[in-house]
Amino acid sequence: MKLSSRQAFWYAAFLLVFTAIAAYTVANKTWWFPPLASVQGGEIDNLFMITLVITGIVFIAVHVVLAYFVWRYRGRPGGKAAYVTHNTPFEITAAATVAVALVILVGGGTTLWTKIQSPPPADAFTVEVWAEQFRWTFHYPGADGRMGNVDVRFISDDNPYGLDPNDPYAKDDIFATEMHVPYGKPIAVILRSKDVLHSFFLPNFRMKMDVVPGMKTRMWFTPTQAGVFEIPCAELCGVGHYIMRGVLTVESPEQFNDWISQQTPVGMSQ
Amino acid sequence: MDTPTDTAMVTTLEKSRPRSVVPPPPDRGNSWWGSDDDPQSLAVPSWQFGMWLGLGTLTVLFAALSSAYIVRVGGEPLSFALPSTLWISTAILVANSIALIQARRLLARKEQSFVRWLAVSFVFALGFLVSQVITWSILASQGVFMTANPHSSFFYVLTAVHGLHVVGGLGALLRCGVHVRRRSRWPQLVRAVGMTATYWHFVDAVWLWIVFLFLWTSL
Amino acid sequence: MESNVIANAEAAVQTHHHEPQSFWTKYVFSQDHKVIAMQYMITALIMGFIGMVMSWIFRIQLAWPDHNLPFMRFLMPTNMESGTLQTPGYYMLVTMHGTIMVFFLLTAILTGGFGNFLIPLQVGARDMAFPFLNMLSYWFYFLSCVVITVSLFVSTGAASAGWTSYPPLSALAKATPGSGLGQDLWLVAIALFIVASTMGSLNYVTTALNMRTKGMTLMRMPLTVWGIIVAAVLGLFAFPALFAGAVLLLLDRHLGTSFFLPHLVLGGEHIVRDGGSPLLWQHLFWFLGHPEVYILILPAMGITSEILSNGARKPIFGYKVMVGSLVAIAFMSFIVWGHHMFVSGMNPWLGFAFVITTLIIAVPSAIKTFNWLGTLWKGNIRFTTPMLYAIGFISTFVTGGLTGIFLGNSALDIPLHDTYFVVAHFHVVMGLSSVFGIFGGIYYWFPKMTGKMMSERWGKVHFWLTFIGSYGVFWTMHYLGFMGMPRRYFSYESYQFLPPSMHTLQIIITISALIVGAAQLIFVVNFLYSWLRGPKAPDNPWQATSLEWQAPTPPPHGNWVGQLPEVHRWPYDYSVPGASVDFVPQTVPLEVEPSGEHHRTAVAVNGHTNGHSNGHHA
Ligand code: HEM
Ligand SMILES: [Cu+2]
Ligand SMILES: [Cu+2]
Repeated sequence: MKLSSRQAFWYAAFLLVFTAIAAYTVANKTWWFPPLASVQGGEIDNLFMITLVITGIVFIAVHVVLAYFVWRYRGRPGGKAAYVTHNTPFEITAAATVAVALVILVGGGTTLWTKIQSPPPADAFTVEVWAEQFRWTFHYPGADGRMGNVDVRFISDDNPYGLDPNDPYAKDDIFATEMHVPYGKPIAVILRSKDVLHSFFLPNFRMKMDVVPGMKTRMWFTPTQAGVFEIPCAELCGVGHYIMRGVLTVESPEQFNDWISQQTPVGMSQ
Repeated sequence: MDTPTDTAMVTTLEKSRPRSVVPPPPDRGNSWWGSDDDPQSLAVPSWQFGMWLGLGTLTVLFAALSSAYIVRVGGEPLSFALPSTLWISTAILVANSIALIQARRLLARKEQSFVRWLAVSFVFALGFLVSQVITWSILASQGVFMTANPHSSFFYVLTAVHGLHVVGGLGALLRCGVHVRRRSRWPQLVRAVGMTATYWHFVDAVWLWIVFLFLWTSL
Repeated sequence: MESNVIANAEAAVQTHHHEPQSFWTKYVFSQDHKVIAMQYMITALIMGFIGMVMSWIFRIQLAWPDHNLPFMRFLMPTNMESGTLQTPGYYMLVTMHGTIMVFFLLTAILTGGFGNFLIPLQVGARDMAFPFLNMLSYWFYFLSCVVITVSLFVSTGAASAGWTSYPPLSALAKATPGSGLGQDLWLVAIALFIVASTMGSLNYVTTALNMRTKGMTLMRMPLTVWGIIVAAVLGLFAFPALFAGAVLLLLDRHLGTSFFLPHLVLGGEHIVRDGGSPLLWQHLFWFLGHPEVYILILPAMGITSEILSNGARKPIFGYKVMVGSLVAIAFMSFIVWGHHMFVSGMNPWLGFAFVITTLIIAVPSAIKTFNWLGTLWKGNIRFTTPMLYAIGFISTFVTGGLTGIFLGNSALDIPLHDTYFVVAHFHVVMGLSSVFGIFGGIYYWFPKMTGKMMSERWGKVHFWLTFIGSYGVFWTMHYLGFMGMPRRYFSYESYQFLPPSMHTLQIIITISALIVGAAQLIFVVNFLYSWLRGPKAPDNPWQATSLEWQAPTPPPHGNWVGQLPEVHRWPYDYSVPGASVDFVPQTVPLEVEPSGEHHRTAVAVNGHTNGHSNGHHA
């Protein structure tokens, strides 16, 4: 029974030390999310913090109780366990408490989800994206201000972006290897894939959406900061998945206009 | 109830085989979850329960394929005409179920003529396969191949997977035949024929579902 | 009742007659559930070992990119020619690791191994309901293991589209190197595995429901049996969806159909298909995939409950609620699969519904946790190796369950999906928890299985290294998830949003993983040495109550000598007030020792010692 005490002590000690380290590093944000850069991301982070507090309390409480029980009820010579089979009021209270916490989280979560998934505001600036193994291409309207129609079916050596040859708006469209957007407006993104699944991930904006061949998927967000951000691909798309890196620059409208005017419309060459 | 044939059969069986099989479970009343006398067991023998579970699994298989079909075509109407041989296939399978019901009933009454109905069922099953091959060749002759469109893809897949189950059913009928040949004891026959019949009813019901599914999408 | 006795006697006679004699029928094509259990268990452990070695190799790549491992030239000639892991090899290892661990280790050992061994022994049956099917089940499983292993050695390499095998990547040979023969073999292996699992599951459920010995009512079955049969039911009704998916994917790969493939352009070449949807595969996959994770956790929950009660010398707290929540979790697990697809392009309103179902499932999970704590409360805990694992299970299940709350809330899943946070979540909640259930179970039942005791001392060393090391690996991964590190990356060198401290974390993880790996070698040696040389085990070394401990050690063919035992009480009569010892086996009549089966407190028991339950049998 000596051994029992030793095991109980170390077990309880380990649980407490682990809980302390876990709680400290999380509360201290030692390793944390990348700097935040969007309105929606801020709301997600808030919900994250609420969830973190609720689950954190449960995490710490369960581990402390577990450690206490392990130590307090360690087997002793001549010791005897109590005969307790169940306790219905306790079960009901516990279940109800959990349910209430979950209702709060689901309420917050679904409200936010609905907001994020609702159509983008009318003044949103739209960029279309082609994903393919292993790069991103960004599609902007040309001087006519209208985005031309694209489809995989139209893709050929002369028409690498699949512009619709019959669409007059497609004649002056711009394709760029980097994404630039003007600061101050919500940004809407329309995603298409030429080949396999990809996922358009913006860690700083807390945004992600899969890119699915045969489908158009969408996302929108409102940047709160100008700057240069990265776009890692977040859905396994083949051997080059880990190098499928895009760059998003959020800049003032003037800088953006400068940039876009330096791009050569593809449609013109046709 | 005892017909002369039956008594003869049973007695020969009794002599030719040692009692190597556990006797059929006692009658357990009619509550599905067992009776008060025997709360440790279900009201049905294991083989029957196992068969139901297995059919449950197959139901999910067909349900998965069917819902994939419904989702995939997304309300687009069927793009080819269903060959009329489909109705022949349907009639054959319905008749097949009836034959097996008959076989089972006769066996329960210990009447030797159940064998004839098993044979009838076997012939029906073969007939079904022939009718299916004809259906496929009609479709093929119209240029409706597997890859033609999602409807035809699923038509071939569903009927082929079903067809494999029909082949399995032929195996089950043959197994009953072996039991008859070997003059197995009556409980064993009941069990073999019972399992076969249950299985076939399922295969036939799946067929009706498949026909319904394609009629529905052709609207 | 009369008929029961006759049936039993007859079964006994029959067993005697049927005892297999030759080496082949006894140890290879055996129909004895205990032999099949060992076959499953050992095959699964070997597969698990292979899966673990794979993880070392890709973990070394992540911590020390392009590190040279000269000996690997021999093990992986195609993707590590120079001893340095190449990208295709990395993706193959990751894919195979996941597939092997989820299906070929965990599913197989929990249902095929523990299910086979425990169900007949714990419900008091002489064998499974369908012994021949049981044997077939193992051999199909064995075949599927062979196929998946062979796929590692085909010239184009093993499947490398992830354990989820999402098309188009998994559908087109040109999409990725492993999408050739390797992917076909992957699909075939999975299909064979499903057949094996189905045959096994039919047996487990039927046996537990229909072959219980006298007195073994449903509400007297140990929670292990409940956990395993509920998992088996999940398998029966979920696996066919993946089977259907595998068939359709094979057709897309070889016959040019377009179930999952739309028209696309791959490497500049048009692949002309018509309107197929990659999301369809994801639905079929996760319709299985989510129940699958519960197939892995429910038996582990059962095992843990059993060990906790035994180790605390107390009845499991809230037995009926435990059974009810098992069933509730199982039922709910069929309607939450969409939580894996929140950002897949699926209709967001569907996502909305899946949030609600997903978070409902957390309620029964939480209740189970409270009940495990309740079991320890006021116990008299013995710190045996199985008990250490069972207590560890509570910790890992809570930790992993809580991270599920984040992921289940779709808005929070947006940034976290497909990052290391998900990898951390499922490894803690599913990987660690079910592995802890398995290790606890092996240490606990090893004496009954082999007739030998395992070394407790080395068991404890194994436990501590595994427990601390695993948290080192998987707790740390959460931080990588916060940072936004995507999963399935061969290297992270080119990304600036990941802070340099990421490297430190990667190294901590890899070192912890190697420590855990070393600990498993201790386990293997302990397992083999104890089997061959260990001290002889008594019939009931843990002083346990359930039926298997009343059988001889190891149990003979037919499990019980003479008549089947008769059950008089539930399996949790530990420390019953008024009883002469702190455990009363299920076979002890109520006239001999009191039982508290239907009563909350000890007080009520005393008044009712006289056969109050099952009165109709008296
Ligand atoms: C409180 C209960 C749980 C909740 C709310 C929950 C929620 C989730 C969610 C939403 C995901 C998808 C995350 C993503 O891909 O973005 C996920 C992934 C996963 N969960 Fe859970 N989970 C819970 C418990 C469990 C349990 C008990 C297991 C296993 C026994 C498990 C195993 C997994 C696995 C294997 C994955 C990842 C699959 C993959 O993408 O490769 N989860 N969980
Ligand atoms: Cu990618
Ligand atoms: Cu899930």
